[in-house]
Amino acid sequence: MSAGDGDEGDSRKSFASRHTFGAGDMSVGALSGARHRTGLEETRPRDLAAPSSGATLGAVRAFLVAAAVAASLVVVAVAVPARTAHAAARCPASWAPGWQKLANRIQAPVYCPTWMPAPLDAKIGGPVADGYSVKRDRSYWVSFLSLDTGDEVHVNFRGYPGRTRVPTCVETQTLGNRTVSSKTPCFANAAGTVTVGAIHATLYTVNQDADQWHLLYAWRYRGSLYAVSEHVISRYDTAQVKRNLLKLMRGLVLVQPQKQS
Amino acid sequence: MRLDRRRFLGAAAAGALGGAGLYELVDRLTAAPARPAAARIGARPPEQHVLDDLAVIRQDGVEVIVPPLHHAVVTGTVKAGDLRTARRDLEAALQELESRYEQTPRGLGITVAWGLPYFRRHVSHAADRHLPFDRRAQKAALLDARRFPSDPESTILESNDVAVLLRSDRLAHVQDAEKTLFDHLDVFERTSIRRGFVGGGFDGGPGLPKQMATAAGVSGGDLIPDGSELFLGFTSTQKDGLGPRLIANHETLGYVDLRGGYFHGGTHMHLSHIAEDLEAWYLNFQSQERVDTVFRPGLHVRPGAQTVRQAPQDVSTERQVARTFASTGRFGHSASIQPTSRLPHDVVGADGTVYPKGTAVPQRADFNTLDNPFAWTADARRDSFSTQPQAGVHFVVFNPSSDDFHRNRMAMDGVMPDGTKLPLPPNARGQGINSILKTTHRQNFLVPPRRHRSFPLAELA
Repeated sequence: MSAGDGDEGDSRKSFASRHTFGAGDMSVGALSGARHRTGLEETRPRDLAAPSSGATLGAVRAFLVAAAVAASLVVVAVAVPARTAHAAARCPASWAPGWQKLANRIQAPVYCPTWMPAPLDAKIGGPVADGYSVKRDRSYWVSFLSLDTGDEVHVNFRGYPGRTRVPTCVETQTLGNRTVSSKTPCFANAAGTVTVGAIHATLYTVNQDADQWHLLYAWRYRGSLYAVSEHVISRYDTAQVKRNLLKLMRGLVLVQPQKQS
Repeated sequence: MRLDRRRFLGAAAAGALGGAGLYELVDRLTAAPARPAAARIGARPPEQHVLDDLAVIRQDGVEVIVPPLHHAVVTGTVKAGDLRTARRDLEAALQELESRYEQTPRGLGITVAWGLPYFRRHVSHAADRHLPFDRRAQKAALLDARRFPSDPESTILESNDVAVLLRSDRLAHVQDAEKTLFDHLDVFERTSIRRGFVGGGFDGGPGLPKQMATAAGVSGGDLIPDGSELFLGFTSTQKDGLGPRLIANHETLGYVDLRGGYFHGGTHMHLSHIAEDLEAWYLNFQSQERVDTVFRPGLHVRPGAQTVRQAPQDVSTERQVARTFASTGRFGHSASIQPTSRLPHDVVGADGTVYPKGTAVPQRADFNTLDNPFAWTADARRDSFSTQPQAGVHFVVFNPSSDDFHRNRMAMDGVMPDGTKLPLPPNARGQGINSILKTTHRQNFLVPPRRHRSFPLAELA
């Protein structure tokens, strides 16, 4: 499998055991909105199960990061601020290559952050880069995760070029002896909107896959849907996560794709 | 209103024995509810647990009772050696309070409830003769508290002698009663103080629970829907969901043999503390799933509706609950309890009142709290006491007997009155709202009628 061909490896995401539903009670598959999926698809219990073994987690993470780095090669950052009010903002130099590479690869703008909640940075392929995938429909998922301080700090970026509808996820639930799969919005329970510069975003509180137990803001830009989310955990409660995400969104700058030679 | 978190925590810490602490914020966030003109001053019912002149409003076409704003429960053990003197002193203190306040939310509701440890330790012989007996269960009407299938091992089954429930729209009235009964009177040793509030969201705006949880910095508090009556977002005091005035009396439904009649006009009270995980509720369950698991699977309500009709015609039967579970893997909190909490057929009460099929039996008096788990405790270690605010509910409910409450609580865990077990593990996602609740403490009490509220049976001992 070549880098980025697969679906998101969301299934190996580790959550803190804040709340545990019955084992096997419900599983959530990968995004079903994609036209093509590969064998990376897995289901995982929707509960906040204990983290995967360190070896497995590390191996998968290393693979994904390596794939992202390999795909990056040499790029030139062309970061364009998302709005005139922050005309001076630029995708940080050390982060820009990865985001530029992503924009080039999907041939659509992506949002590069200029601020991340501690201790994260947003260097794709960097030490806290946790996941990176691009599907054949060009939708992407970029994840940054730290477990270093004992608390998980986790931010996801998503983009869906050429479409603005909330994607659909698949839930698999065990009912007695039966397993039932059903479709559900990947982002749900809209809980208000906010305008940050040129971004008019909707807050979603019930989200699936790698965005589970996250607060997520999603917005549209030129016919595409973008989203950023952060995990709610003791260090970052819901109020703090909202503040973090608003600050993060205030600092987003658009990275335009370069024409491919 | 935003309250500096350090000040909020300081208020929480200061709130112990000295006063209401952080709950004083309630009166800064909301006004006392509008009430009907008092019509019963001086005419006190024989029952301690009945509060009259409650306001009724309509929400989403449903009649909703507006409960008193401020609540407190003080538990204790008997300190006095001479029960007859203690009885006289307590009764005098209660009458003194009654001379100051009518028994309405505008005034003060006082309910003195007694636990089995009191009856066993202090009046055991008289208790053997007079404590009511549950005919239906073939057990005493007052039983030791028990753990239920969804209770964790850590749930503490308490052994207090007494619990005093205080309810009023005026915090000062509650505080006055606490001082009168526990500071000025030397008959009880306090074991815990539990405080809280309910309502305050009926006039629009964010609502009291959301404001209190947000001010306390409870994670998920900012996700509580505006206007919610309670932390978990749904209105729980709709008229059809609460037992009518005298239905929870021991004698009303005929469940209980009152033997000599000493406790005629009395009832049973269950008291528990339940921690609520607001994050889990608001970050994991979509709106429809919340409706499915709070009420019944597949129930369609207006998006954002907080008050969902639970009239007699909406009541689920055991068969419906089982069938729904078989097809959806869920049974719904309200639906599962209704086969035991609602009358299965018309019943004529002991006083001739006709209670139609589907009428609710339990009279709930629960209230939201930020106690963790109590505002104050005599045993901080045992109770895992913390000054860090935590969303929860002090669950207070009046039933005719312990067994009647236990039946309801078992049904909530999927154990139906006919013995049918709906196999849904306590923490399963299908449990919905039940899965985000954690009971920390439980105890059952007997509430004597007003005439015997002070050290019941002591005069016979």
